Amino acid sequence: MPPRQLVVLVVDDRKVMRNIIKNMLSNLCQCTFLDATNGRDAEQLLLSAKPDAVMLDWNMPEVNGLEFLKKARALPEYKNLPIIMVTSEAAKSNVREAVMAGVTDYIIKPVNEADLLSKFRKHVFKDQN
Amino acid sequence: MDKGYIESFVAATRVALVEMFGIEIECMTPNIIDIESEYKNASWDFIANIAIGGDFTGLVTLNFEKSVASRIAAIVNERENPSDEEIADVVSEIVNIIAGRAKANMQDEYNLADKLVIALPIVTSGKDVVSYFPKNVKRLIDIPFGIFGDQRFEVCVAFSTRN
Repeated sequence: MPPRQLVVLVVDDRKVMRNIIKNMLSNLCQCTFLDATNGRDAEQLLLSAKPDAVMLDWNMPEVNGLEFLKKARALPEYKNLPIIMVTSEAAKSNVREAVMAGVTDYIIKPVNEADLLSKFRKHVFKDQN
Repeated sequence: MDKGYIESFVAATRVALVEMFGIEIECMTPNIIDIESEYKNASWDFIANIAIGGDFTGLVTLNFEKSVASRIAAIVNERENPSDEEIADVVSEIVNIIAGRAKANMQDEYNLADKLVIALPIVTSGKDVVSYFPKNVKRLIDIPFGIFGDQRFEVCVAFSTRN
């Protein structure tokens, strides 16, 4: 039986980054992608579409990625949802802050495809192996 | 600003262009230039600004002629003749990566006591656009890069330490 198509929420205020991430993930598996350009829209999609994973930028207008992450982790239903931050925030203090907030993994831009796919596979497919 | 800080921006620019998008660039000799008499006489079509606050306050700007910005956006989007919106999207992402990497280098390598914070990028486009720097900043570091043979773009950095 073919694997179920994953629903992946890609949150970044720049279309070019959303496309890069979606193109990379498409090389790994069949996914349905949902796009959000800020944390507020992402929260609505999280609640309505219940994605299997979230690829999350940090710096975005209105509600940023860290705020979205904290809100998501406050909901019991999303406590273990794979949320992978893909961000230009490269300082160690930022990584620590994201880990404290419950991020599943952290990728610093520029995005390396092998790294992204490895982390996605590790966290998203772990229950399917 | 010492040489190490300038190198942080050069390295960050390489990361953004070469590693992220596979576009070769060549760093030329950085200059310290006067904002009023030199920078504002320059002529650019796309400028991406990003403000940094914390132990330093300042502005990082990425300055392009449209032909260069358009070619970069075409490579990134894998499509000829990108729209101005697509160009702005790409240059915005590039300055975001540069500022994020440079911020991390400065914060981690120089043990800055307070966290540096980067704002969201702002892209301005049009004929002969310029950036507006903080009033107390009179000079900036201009780092020119060669790209696509004989074309160029510039990364400009202006900082003042917090009192």
